[in-house]
Amino acid sequence: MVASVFRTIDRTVEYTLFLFFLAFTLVGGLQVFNRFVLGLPLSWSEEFQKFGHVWMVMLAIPVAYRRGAHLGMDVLLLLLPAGAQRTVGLVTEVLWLVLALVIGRYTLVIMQIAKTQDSAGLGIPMDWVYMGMVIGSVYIAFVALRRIATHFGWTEPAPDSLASH
Amino acid sequence: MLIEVFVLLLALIALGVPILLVMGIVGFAGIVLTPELVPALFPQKIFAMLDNFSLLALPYFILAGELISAGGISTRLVKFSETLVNHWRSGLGHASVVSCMIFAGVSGSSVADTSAIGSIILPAMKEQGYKPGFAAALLACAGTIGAIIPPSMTMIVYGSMANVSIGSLFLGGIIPGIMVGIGLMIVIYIYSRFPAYPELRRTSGTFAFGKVMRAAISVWTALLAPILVLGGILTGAFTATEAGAVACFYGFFVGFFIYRVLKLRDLPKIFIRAAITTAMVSGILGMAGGFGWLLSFLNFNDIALSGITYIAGGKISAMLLLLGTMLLLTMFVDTLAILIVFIPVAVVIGRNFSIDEFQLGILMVMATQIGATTPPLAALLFVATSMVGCKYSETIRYCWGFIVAEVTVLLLVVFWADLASWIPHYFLG
Repeated sequence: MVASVFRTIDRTVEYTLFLFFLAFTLVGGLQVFNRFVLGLPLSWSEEFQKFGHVWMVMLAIPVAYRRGAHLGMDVLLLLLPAGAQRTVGLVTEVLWLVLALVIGRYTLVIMQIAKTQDSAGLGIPMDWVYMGMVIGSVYIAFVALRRIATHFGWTEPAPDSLASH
Repeated sequence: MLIEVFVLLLALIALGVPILLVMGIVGFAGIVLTPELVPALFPQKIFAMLDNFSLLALPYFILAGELISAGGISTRLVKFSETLVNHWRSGLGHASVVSCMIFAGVSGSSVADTSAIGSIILPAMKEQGYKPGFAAALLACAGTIGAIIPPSMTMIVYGSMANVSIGSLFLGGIIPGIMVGIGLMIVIYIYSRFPAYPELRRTSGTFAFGKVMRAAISVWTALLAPILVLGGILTGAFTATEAGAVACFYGFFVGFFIYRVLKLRDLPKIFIRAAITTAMVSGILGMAGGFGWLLSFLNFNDIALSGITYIAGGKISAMLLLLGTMLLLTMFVDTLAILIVFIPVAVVIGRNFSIDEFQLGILMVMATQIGATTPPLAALLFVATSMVGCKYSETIRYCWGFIVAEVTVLLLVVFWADLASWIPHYFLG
């Protein structure tokens, strides 16, 4: 039951990530088409892509984390005894949780100031833009807690395959 | 404080903690422990780094590479390269280098180059009796061309952090990338002269123009991709970021309408794969926004500059010292982490010694690639060794000749700036 709720959340986040990436790719294409073909450059497309990039990266960091994709050098780690490897693994998950908490907590501080400002191109309040960093941090913390729980007997649902058909 | 920051950074990296997390934790700890700084600076610097239009080229080129690769282009590319050089002695070895050079115009990463071409050409290499360690070393070093011939993720990282035109860096990588390819082919030729390598004396088939043309037609989509990207940048029609967006649409068009292997239901998976790769690089860069700012606040860049100025008498010796330090460090630490720490140092050194910004950028990119193939810790050698399934020590035995070729090209670019800067200056001023 809990595992299926987690799986639904994971799939929703990944599908949202896909939609974000798709949207800013379409806007990127539209920007070139409008300027190059129609000769009518868009005033908002650059800002849309930049803000979309912030949201996308902050959502993709925990997705990559959950799938164990982040780059690290495990050559020396593998030389340690199994018990020490597990301890380092647990400390790493706790560090992820700390990182998520500090990014989320202090981005909320910035949002208090940013909500009084509107962006130049899209005209949206800047705290909406920073919101992506908070949402990403919450999902990092969620994944970190689940991974910490695996050290105490919890079994994570396997991620969906990303291989093409 | 600076020493503590580096000790913590290296200790966490050595323990296998992901680079992104290390950069984030060390950057935040440094900011919190410095009394005159406020913690909110940390997410603000992450945002400032990610809110950068130049950096958008990264997800676009990663996605374009995924879309074009989904069309099964690497198999056709290897076949095309074989028709070009198979009649030469050790033709298969040369074909792997040529394939990596052409695939580099589609993909932006050395790991992608090594994996994509290696997976296709390895069975044939095994069949012809290539020594497994030799095949792994060759494929790892040929893969480095993926990051030197445009498009290049490493150049996007350098350009967006150093504030150098990414389009110009792309153009600057063309000649050094081709030279690295030629250098590797010369090393293969030298190996083939030794009696201990009878497999490298073999040729397969003869040169037939008709065969080359038929293979070229089957692979024209891959050959057109770099022309579209570079042509757009060369003529000033679009920026590197816009070229990336165009490449995505091109990749989709080719896979969906021409080869008809791309299915709409596969798109979410392709986009998510590309987003994950983006997060692996852009995420590190985002965290480096806080970490790099901390280093600059702690005067690391000025300290490094004064150290290099004290030892180096002029432009060339300053470049050699910088690159030598980077090459030494990348033997033990992840190349992207070293690049990110050293980019601001390179910028101040470049300004101080009036080094051409494109020459310096290309040299830094090349140094990271050499680092990725230099033992003991060499990411590309690990990738190739695991693909081949041999012992790492076997790969190390054969990699040195190829590394000498890469270092030779690096030195030529140090002493002859035009190799990297002529094309960008000529076309883009």
